[in-house]
Amino acid sequence: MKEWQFNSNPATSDALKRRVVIFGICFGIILLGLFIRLWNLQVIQGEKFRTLSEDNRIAYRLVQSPRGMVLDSQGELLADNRASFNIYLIRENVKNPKQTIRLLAEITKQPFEVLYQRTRNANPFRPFLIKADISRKTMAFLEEHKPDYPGVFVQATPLRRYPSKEQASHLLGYLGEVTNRQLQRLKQRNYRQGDLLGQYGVERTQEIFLRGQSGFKQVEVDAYGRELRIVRPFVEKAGNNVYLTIDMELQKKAEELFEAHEGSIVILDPSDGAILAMVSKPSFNPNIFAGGIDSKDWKGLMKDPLKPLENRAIRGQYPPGSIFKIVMGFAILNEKIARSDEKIRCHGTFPFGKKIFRDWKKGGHGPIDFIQSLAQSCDVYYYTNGHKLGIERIARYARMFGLGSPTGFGAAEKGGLVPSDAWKRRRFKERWYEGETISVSIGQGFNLITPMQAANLIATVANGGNLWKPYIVKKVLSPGGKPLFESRPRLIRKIPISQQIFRKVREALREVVHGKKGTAKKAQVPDIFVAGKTGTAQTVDLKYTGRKRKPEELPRKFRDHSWFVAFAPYEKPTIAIAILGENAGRPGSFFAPYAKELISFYLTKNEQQILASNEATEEKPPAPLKQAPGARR
Amino acid sequence: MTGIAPSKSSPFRRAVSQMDWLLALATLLLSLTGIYMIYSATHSNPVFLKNSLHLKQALWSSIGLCLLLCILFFDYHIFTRWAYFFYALVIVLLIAVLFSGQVVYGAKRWLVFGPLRLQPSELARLAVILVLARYFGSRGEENPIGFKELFPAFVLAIAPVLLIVRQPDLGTGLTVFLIAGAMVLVVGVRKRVILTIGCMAIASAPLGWLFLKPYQRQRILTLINPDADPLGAGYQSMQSIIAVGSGEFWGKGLLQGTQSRLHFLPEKHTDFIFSVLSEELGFIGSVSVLALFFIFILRCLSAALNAADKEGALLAVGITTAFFLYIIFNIGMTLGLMPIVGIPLPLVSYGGSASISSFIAIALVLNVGMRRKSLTHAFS
Repeated sequence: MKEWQFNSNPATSDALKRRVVIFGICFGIILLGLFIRLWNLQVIQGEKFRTLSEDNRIAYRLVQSPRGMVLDSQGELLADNRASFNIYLIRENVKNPKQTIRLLAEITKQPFEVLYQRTRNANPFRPFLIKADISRKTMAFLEEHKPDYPGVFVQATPLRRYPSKEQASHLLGYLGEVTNRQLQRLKQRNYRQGDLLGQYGVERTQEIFLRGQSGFKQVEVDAYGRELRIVRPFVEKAGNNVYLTIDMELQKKAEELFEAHEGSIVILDPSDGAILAMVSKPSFNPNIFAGGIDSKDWKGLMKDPLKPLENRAIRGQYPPGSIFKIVMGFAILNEKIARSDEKIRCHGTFPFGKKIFRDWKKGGHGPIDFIQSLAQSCDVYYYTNGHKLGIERIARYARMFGLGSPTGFGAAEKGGLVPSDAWKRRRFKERWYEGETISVSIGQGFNLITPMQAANLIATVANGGNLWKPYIVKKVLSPGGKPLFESRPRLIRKIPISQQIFRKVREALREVVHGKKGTAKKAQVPDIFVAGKTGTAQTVDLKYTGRKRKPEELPRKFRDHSWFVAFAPYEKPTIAIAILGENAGRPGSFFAPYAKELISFYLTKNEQQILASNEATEEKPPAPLKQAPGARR
Repeated sequence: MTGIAPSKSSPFRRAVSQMDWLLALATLLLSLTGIYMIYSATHSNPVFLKNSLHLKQALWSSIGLCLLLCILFFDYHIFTRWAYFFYALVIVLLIAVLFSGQVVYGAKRWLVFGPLRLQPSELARLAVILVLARYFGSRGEENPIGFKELFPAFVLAIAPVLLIVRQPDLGTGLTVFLIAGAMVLVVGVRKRVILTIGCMAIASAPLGWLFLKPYQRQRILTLINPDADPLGAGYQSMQSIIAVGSGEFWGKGLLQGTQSRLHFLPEKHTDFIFSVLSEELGFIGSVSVLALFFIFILRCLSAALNAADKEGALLAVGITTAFFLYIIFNIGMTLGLMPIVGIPLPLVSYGGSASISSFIAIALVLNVGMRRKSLTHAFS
């Protein structure tokens, strides 16, 4: 007998039995509750539910409210919506998934396997977006064959539209389907699989404002999923309208000027850092993203060696070339390396150790003072004084003007590079050589800046030392016009350099445009003074360029970058410009006329506007008697 | 009937004579109902029908039945004796599933061994019941337990629960925890312990809310206001209620349910099988099933009452509680009384792991009933 082993186990007590009985009673009571609920649902309310199930077949349909508009500072439309038709599929309702999806793949020109896999991964009870913005012909075909393909339906949805097409594409950005990673993060915000959201530019950064509420309406449907009647509507709530600081007319002008080039133009309002225009070329057409981008188009954009999706204004990093001499000028004067009237004799070369650093002008500029050194962009002047300054001080001044770190305009922005001894040890495990300081002094060597940083630098010079954080969103209004957000300019820092020095540097920059020997005389605008600086950034080390070559002889990536930065009017600046021609292979002065065009366009337009608004005040009904007559102009 | 009269030479025959035929009958009827309802729920869907899920379920039930018969041959003490070993194995499987489990609907619940898919959380339920029956069963005293004795039991119960919640499978984790709680209550706890734990539970409820995943919170909120997420949990709940209610008294007739045929019901052959049943068989049908479950539960509890020892009683109570919780969670969910958690209806819902583990559990209860006190006393 085996069982004796178990007899040592304690027997069940009466107390335990009592508790088991109590359990049984509790279970019974709960089951009684279920019984009552069943009675209530099936017998008392049964008839109501019977009608609901037989006559009213309620389905829920997604309603997407239109996305908010994007407008420029004058109220010109940069992004809005148009009506479009999308195909959706509810897998649970599909009778023959393979056949249905094969048909859908065919009419939407998508690979069958990919589409099939995607629908399998989606929630089978929710509408899954097969294709956005189908043609009317496709829609007609689907409507006609609807009974054969249950679970497939067409729904009208607002579709994003960018009237300016390729223009301002980098700053506006584009929409894309929410990725699985984003979905994890955004589920709480009511994002669903297949939703579009801003993936780039303002569309991305202002997503929370722009996005329209989406929700479900309850509709009565027949067995084919056709809507018979709306049971409970969803009240649409459109997204908010975002007003940019951009002046679209100026932007367009800049885009047109730069049509044939690669590179970037950034225009700032020096008084507060507002971005008036931001061009990056080559650009793309954001409209092709609106309904989910074609994989062919996407591959084309990704494979293009000129990288049209890259926003060069904030992500392109280039050696600054001679525009770095502006920073050098401040350092030289403020550190009292040289007085502004002190002259240096330029012979066209600067021997250092075994190396000879050359001036761009053969034979040199002769005796040259501070103002002329900038006006003529004398390299020897900066070799000499840069060597005296040393790399650490140069780096300090460069950082002071916001170089070497992102301006704070956007998350995707690159910071450029301000080299220093510490940086080089970190990066190359090697000490800094003084010869490298000499290259850096004229903006060559390791130095890198973005067009946005260049624009902010010149704007800071223009306004006398206020380094503003560039911004692009002016305000956000609700669809009803209620202000939700208003940008306030943010000062990054006040440059700790005296106004006297600022005046000297500005004077020198005016001399660049208006001086007899200035390098950018082509930037002159009638009636006003313009200040600016040219820069030609070599892409290969200086020692290889001893022999001048024509740009056409060089492969594109070895051609020089061309810079031109400017502000105007000289006395009271209202516009600051940075132009970069990527591998343009031209001297910086090549783009001086572009700056002239943009400046005169902007100033004329502003003048007209001021005149117009003054006229408008004139036309107003007479002011109340109390007002002094002198107050009117 | 002298043939099956107890004879000294065969303890197994004696046991067979004490077999609870009513419990066995209820089990059989419920599984048959399940197989038929699975057919009804899936017959309109060509994909499901091609897979003939009802036949698969019949196969699972048959395998379960064979296992049940095998288990009856052995005294249940053999199983409790191996409880700790089994428990350790289950813990290892639960950890393994977290690392190499198959992801289904965002949760890792399945371990894949070639053609076999195993859901370790199904085994965990049984392991906790066995291990606690063993732990409390070997205890001699009659006085209620205090903190000192409760703590090891708590650790034994909470370890698999936490691992299951990590998967994440909150529903199963919660039921395992409740089963453990029920077993402790039956053993008897000091009033002081109950009071302290009660207060702590109430105090930590808001804290627990913080630990819930968003979708879990959503489900609870949806229960309070089904319109909040009409296409998610609320939709399922609403459609289920409509299906049940529309069955009225006599039902729409077998294979006639429009809610399920028109695919308004989700998961209709697994978690929402009771809605299909209520729609097609009406109040009569659903109450009959409820009554079958009631008999089932009563017979299980009676096995506990008459068990030969504490171990057997606790084993039966644990298993009964498990069945009971699954029944009320599932039916409560289809009737819109509980949040939607993926818990199947025992014996009726489609599912291999669940069916087989149900049959094993019933076998253990039958086993306890067969080797009840009178018998052991009489012949020892």
